[in-house]
Amino acid sequence: MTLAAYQAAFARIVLSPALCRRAREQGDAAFEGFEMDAVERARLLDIARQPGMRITCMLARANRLSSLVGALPLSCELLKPELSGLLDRYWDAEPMANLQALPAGLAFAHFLRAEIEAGRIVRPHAADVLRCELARLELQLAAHTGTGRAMRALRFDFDPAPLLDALAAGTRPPATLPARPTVLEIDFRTDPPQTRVRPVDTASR
Amino acid sequence: MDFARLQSLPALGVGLLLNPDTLAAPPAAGDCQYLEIIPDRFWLDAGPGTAPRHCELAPSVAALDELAARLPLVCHSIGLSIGSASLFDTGHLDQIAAWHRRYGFAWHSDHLAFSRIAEHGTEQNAAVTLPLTRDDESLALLSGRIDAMQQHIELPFLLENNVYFVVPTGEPYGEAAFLNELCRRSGCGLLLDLHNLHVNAVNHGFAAEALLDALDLRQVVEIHIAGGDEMAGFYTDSHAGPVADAVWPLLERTLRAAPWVRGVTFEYHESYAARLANGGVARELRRARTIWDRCC
Repeated sequence: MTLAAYQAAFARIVLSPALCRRAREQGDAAFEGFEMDAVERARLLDIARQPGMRITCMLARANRLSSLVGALPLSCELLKPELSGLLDRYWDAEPMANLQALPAGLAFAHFLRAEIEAGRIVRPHAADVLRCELARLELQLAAHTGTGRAMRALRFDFDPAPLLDALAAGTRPPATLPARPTVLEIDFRTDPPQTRVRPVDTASR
Repeated sequence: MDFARLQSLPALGVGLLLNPDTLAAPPAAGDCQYLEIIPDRFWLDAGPGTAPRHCELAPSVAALDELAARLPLVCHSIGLSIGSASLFDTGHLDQIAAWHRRYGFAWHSDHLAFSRIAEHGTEQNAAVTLPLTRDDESLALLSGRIDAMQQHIELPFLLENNVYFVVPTGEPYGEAAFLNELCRRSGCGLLLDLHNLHVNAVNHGFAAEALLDALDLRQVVEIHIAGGDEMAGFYTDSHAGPVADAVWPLLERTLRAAPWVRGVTFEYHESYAARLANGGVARELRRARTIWDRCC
């Protein structure tokens, strides 16, 4: 099964720029644990040193990233300053077998939620934005798979509209948000789906 | 290669690869004689060993049903990773077979590459298609897989020549010789992606025409045409809007020399739709059709 080991090591240097760099700098030692024969080992070392390796790694990262940004655009925008490090941590922990945006986005959302709960993400409103996008993904999943078109109402103690609008426009959110108990309704019963923000008293009527 | 079988396939003409953009606003039937679908975009796949594994995306499938009533479909999968030594996904084949029973594809195809790796009970995806080493070990692996596929799905199977930015060293076969031998041994046909060929020629400094001359063009059943763009000093197969200028003469040359081509498919990525605004898709399809009519 040395071909399988060669392919695993090849994929690993594509997905891990650090390992690729190690292979270029340290040679064979980078592939410890991969049971390749001498020809495969030499072949892979040569591949790691080819100029085309850089774009191969860039495309792999871009393809994985686009699935996640496509599913969680607002969270990724909010977390932009720390996103690169977060992704490295995520991809170390989660091999990401599935690149489809919906399942990939749900899995990344659960990772982000765990990071927030563990205090490793402290950016203001990260939990709020993630809650909105996770609800949207779950509704989307239900609608796409035919298990039902539903609506979700999320309560906030501030008006989330300026926050979400700023992120959707690719700008930094306002430093303060209007303190006002509010309900955000994400409605997948209509086509196209609608998002509404209402004061709590109106929404509960 | 069973040339009689290829000869018996319907000559479809010029078609379009469906994407979310064209699914919502399909081209007129006069401009497009068939549609190619990436079936993997119509379902969620929970992965091997799960049940139920494939969950179809109801709104997209409903739109596809309407189109399938009007135009023939061919199937271009991206999920098989046929060259992966560590896995062969028969569950994926089962799903393709089920969709063939439903839509009656004229043929199906996938990429000559590997991207999926199974290791220690988990799977990961390289997120790009990686090149196979062109040697007898790969030929044996692929031939066995293709044989198993033909048992699974009674439909001609084509492999697409892949884009590669790195080249495994010490290969006993060149690209054309490898493709010729693969088709001869396995019985598969070729989906000749002329833009992929152009991308490789640009990045690796060879003449695309020389590869065409060395290729047994009798095995080409389908041709892809597309455009690309520059990234980090390389030319990429990003499907960035209109067909690349250099691809048109390659299309004409191939159609004149390849006797059993059954379809020419234009591919573009939906994120570049703006570059094809104001009838750009129809324009590319008509230009391909003019060449098809002149050569076929």
